[in-house]
Order: sequence, then structure tokens, then C-alpha cells
Amino acid sequence: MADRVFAVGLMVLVAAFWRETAELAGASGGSPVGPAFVPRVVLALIFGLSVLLLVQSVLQAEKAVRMTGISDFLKLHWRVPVLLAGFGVYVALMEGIGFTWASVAFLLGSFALLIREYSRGILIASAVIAVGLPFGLEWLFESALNTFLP
Amino acid sequence: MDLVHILDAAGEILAPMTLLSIMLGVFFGIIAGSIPGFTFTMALVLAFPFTFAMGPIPGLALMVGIYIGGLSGGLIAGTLLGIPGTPSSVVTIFDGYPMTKNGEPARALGIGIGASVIGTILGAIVLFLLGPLIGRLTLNFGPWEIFSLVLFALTLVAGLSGDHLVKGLISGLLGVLIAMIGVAPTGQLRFNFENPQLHGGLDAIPVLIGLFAVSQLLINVEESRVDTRGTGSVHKIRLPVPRVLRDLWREKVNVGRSSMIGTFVGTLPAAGAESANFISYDRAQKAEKKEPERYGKGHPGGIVASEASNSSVAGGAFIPTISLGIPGDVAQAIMMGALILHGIAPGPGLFEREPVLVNSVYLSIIVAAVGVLIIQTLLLPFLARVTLVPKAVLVPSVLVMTAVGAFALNNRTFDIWLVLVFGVIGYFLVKLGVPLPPMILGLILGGTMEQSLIRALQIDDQVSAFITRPISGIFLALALASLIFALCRGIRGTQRRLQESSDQGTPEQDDDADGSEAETSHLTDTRTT
Repeated sequence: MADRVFAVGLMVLVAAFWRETAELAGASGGSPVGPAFVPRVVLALIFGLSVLLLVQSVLQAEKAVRMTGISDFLKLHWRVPVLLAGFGVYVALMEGIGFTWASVAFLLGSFALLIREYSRGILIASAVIAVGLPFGLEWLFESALNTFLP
Repeated sequence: MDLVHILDAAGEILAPMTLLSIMLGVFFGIIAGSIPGFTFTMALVLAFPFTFAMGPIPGLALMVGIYIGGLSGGLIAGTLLGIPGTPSSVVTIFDGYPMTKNGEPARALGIGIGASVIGTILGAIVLFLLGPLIGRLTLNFGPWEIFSLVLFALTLVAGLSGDHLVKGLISGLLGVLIAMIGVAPTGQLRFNFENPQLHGGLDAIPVLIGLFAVSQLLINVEESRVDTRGTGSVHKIRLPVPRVLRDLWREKVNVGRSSMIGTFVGTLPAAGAESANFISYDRAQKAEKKEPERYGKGHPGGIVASEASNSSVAGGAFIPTISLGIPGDVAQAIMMGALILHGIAPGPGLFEREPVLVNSVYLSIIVAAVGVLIIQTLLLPFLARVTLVPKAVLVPSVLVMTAVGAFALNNRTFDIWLVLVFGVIGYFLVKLGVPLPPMILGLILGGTMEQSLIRALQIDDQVSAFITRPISGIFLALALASLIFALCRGIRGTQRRLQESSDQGTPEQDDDADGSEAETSHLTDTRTT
């Protein structure tokens, strides 16, 4: 089932890109092929392979990647989407409050999310990393590499 | 080979700052390799922004250090915990972990370190001898040959994607498609979807960080239930040097054979250290006359085969990267990216344009091998503790570092968003059983392929020139052959599986979509052997 969803997703992607190629100019004086030529070849190949994948997933159902229930997956690995969402918030915050404090907040939040067994040692180590790493990186990049972080 | 260039390169590599770069690289590479789930490729990604402020040779030397250190570092976790630090050290477990359980962890580690160092140096010697020859050959390459070569590399990588030929090809083509976003070789803007940030195209590095590093980190979050603790043997380690030297001397033929296998496999794009590992182990086991039954139960030859081959891959992998501009694996792609950032394009003509730089690569591999020996020998007790770093602390810290690395490339937060987006894409692709190396190669080489095609057609609009020019024709024939080979292998694999499932009388389960399950069960098997 997952393979079928993937194949259909690819077809949608191909359609979106193909539509874009329609707006590109054709071959001009110096070049025998236009900017749409190679992308169209690539898109046609992806489309053909998607069809093949779709057919394969139907004919060889036992070989295809199975799509376990999304709710089961989320129950088991709910930390993954939460961490991803946290990373998104972190990048958004970075533009507002700056790299250092956004990183401190992200690290503290992520440690709280991922650490399953707390001990005094882990708490101290994670607090030191959550504060030390962002400040250390900021110092390193700004003084040693002349790169100013947001 | 001009001696002057070698001496110039030696002067560059032995300069204190460059030497320090290599040693720091080796140290962090070993640490990255030691921590299960944190590969040295990730360490290379994190080191990438630091090379901006360096010259091309010290920058490349740092990366070579990480690469060599990382290839060797995987043996520590594999031997002590029975968990491979890197995918290329899986086979080390077969004999390394049983030796640890038999009370000989230091001997196992010593054999691994020794074999790894010798393998690295032998691989560098082969690179030194073969690289210039291939480099001279590539001087005759025109756009036809380059196009056909890139096409061959892409089909080879897709073909080596296990049983997933179709998904491998899709992955490679998606990489090529991503590479086409931005300005076309003909000068027009395309696939920008009205977003001004896409006008310059997608930088390969944030895409690569997302696809490879972030997706791997997310899988680590899933696997963080797997307990990596539980052995008390990591704290008291002292290498029994005379015993290790005797073991290595007894296995000298094995060291040489495994190193040559590793170097050869390294030259093949995407074949990688993992394949070299298994092939060498198989050969070593078959060549063992006295006690073949001890393989898998703690035979020194098993560790030697694994470590000599996975470390010698480095020398082989640099051959296509330097001479042809075709990175053999993701790590090579990152190093190639660092060179391009410094205005140096690897590929045909590099040996003539940058002889000192090319010689610096050989020498830095050898210096890094010596660094591996020194650092792993002296800091073994510390490195053994590093293997126990909890992923809960590691994953967020590395995510912050990937964000900084992506930002530092162009000083724009858009690149960090790219990391996030491609991290999610990479994660789902792994879940779907889509191999990522073809996509990365497509991304790196897609632009070159299109540019070569257009330039070739501008010179001569006859498409037949791609076939009638001998070298180009050979590459196209090889591309076709690799596809046919992969197809036949896929059909055979399907037939075998169907046969097996009909023999067992139970429906087959495909665990490829969930690497964590596969790995966890593998680890359980290994640890209970």
C-alpha cells in the first residue's frame, strides 16, 4: 500500500514539474535543446518508473512495503513528529530571538522529550550541553570563522 | 609523478596547522564512528562549515582525517558492545564481540586497529599508483564521455540498491530533478515556483544534510529504546601489543587480500565499505585452512578481514572522485562539495591543474592512518566510554549543529528550512525502502550531466556521437550492462524469496521499510551468538 501511495505521489510531483516546463522557452539560437528538454526526459522516466512501481506493488503485494496504520506508528514513535515540529519552531524562533536562545530552548525541550530515565548525572550533563553548546558555537563561529549567526 | 609536487604537498601537509587539522579530524572521526547511529558522514557534514575559513588543503585534510578516523572508529562499539558504530563495521562484530565475551576485548581492538591502519596505508598506495594513470586517461574526455560516464555512475548506484532497482532509479532521477531547480545551463530560470529563494537553485549541502543526517537522526530517535549499555568491560582496556603483532603477522596474507578487495570495491560508486566488508570476510573464511570453524566465534582473521577492507576503501573511493569527479559515496560527495566551494572542480584535468592538492590527499590519508594508530592506542579507554553516549542527548545536539552548518553556507535561514524539509523527505524515503545514495549522486552530478549533454549537442548535433566515440560508447554499454545485471539479480532475488516462502508455507514479511526492526533483530541475533 505504501508503494502505491508513493507511486501516486510521484505522479503528482511529475505533473507539477511538467506544468512548469510548459512555461519555459524552447531551443534558442546557440543551443540545440531548450531548458525544458532534459527535465522532461527525467520527468518522463520518473513517470514510467512510478507506473512500474505501481504495477509491481499490485502484482507482488507480498513484496511491497506495507503501510502499517499511521495511528500505530504515531503511538510507537510519537517523539519523531514532535521533535520535527520542535525543530520547525526552533528555526522560526531563531529569526525572532536569535540563534543562541532559540538553541537553548530547543535543546532543553528536546532533552525533556527524549530522555527517558532521569538521573542526577544526566540532568547536569544535559543542562550543561543545553547552555554550553549554543554559546560555544556562537563564540566559535563569530570569533574564529567570522560567520554571524542569526 | 613529479617529485617536486610530492615534496610541496609534504610541506603543506606537515605544516603545523594542517597536521593539527588532520589529527583533530581523526579524533572526531573516531568519536563519530564509535557512537552507534552517529556516522562519520554526519561528522563530515558538521565539519563542512569549518572548512570555509581554511585553505583548500587544510580543509580537505580535516575532512580526510574525519573520513579515515571514522572508517576505523566503528570497530570500538562493534567489538565492545556488539553494536556496529558504523555500517561498515558490521562484520567486525562477528569475531570482535565473541572475543570480548571470551575476555579478550583489548586483543580484539588491537587487531582491529592494526588491520585498519595497514589497510588504510595500502589503499593510499594504490591510489598513489593508479590515480595519476586514470587522471591522464581522463584528459581525453570531452562532454560526450563525461555525460556517458555520469550516466554509467548513476545506473551503477541505482543498480547496487539491493533488490530495489526501480526505487533506486527513481531516487537517482529525483536527485537529478532537484539539481535542475534554478538556472538552466542555457541561462533560463526554471522550477522556481515563484519563490525568489529558489532562483539560485538548491544548494547541495543543506539538501544532503537533510536527506542523510537528519533522516538518520530521526531513525535514531526511533531506535533510542535499544539499550547500548550493559557491558562492564569498556573501562579496563590495555592493548597486548606483542600478542596483537603476532596475530597480525599470522594474518599477513589476509591483510593484503582484504586491503586489495577494499580498495577495488572502493573505486565502484556506492559499493562502499559495507560490501567490501562482507566480501573480504567471505574470502578470508574460505581461505582459512586450519580452523575455519572458529570464524564467527572469535577468530582474529575475521576482524582483520573486516577492518583492513573497510579502511582500505578510502584509497579506492578517492580514485573516481579525484580523477573522474564521480564521488563513490556520500562522504566523498561532501568532500567534493568542500573542494568546489574553494573553486576547485574535481574531475578530468585535476592532476594537471592541482598536482600539489592531489598529492596532499595521498599524504593526508597516510598521516591520518598514523593518527588513527596513535589516537586509538593512547585514548582507547576514553573512546570506549564514548560509545555509551545516550542518543537522547546526542540527537538534539547534532540537530543544532546541522542547523548552524546549513546557515553558515550562505548566511540564510532558508537553508535550515531546506534541511528540515529534506530531513522529513529522507526519513519517509528510508521508511519506504528508497535508497538515498542514488539521490545524492543524482543531486551532485545532475548539473554536470545536463551541461555535458548540451555542450556535446552544441558541438555536434548528431546523437550518434555518444555511441560512436569509443570511450563514450564503452560507458554507455557499461551503463546498459549494469542495468541488465541489476535487473537479472532482482529477478533471481524475487524467485529465491518466492521459493523460500513457498517452502516455509508462510507469507513473506518485508522488513526493509523499517530498518530499525531489521537492525534490532540483527543485533539481538549477534549478541546471542
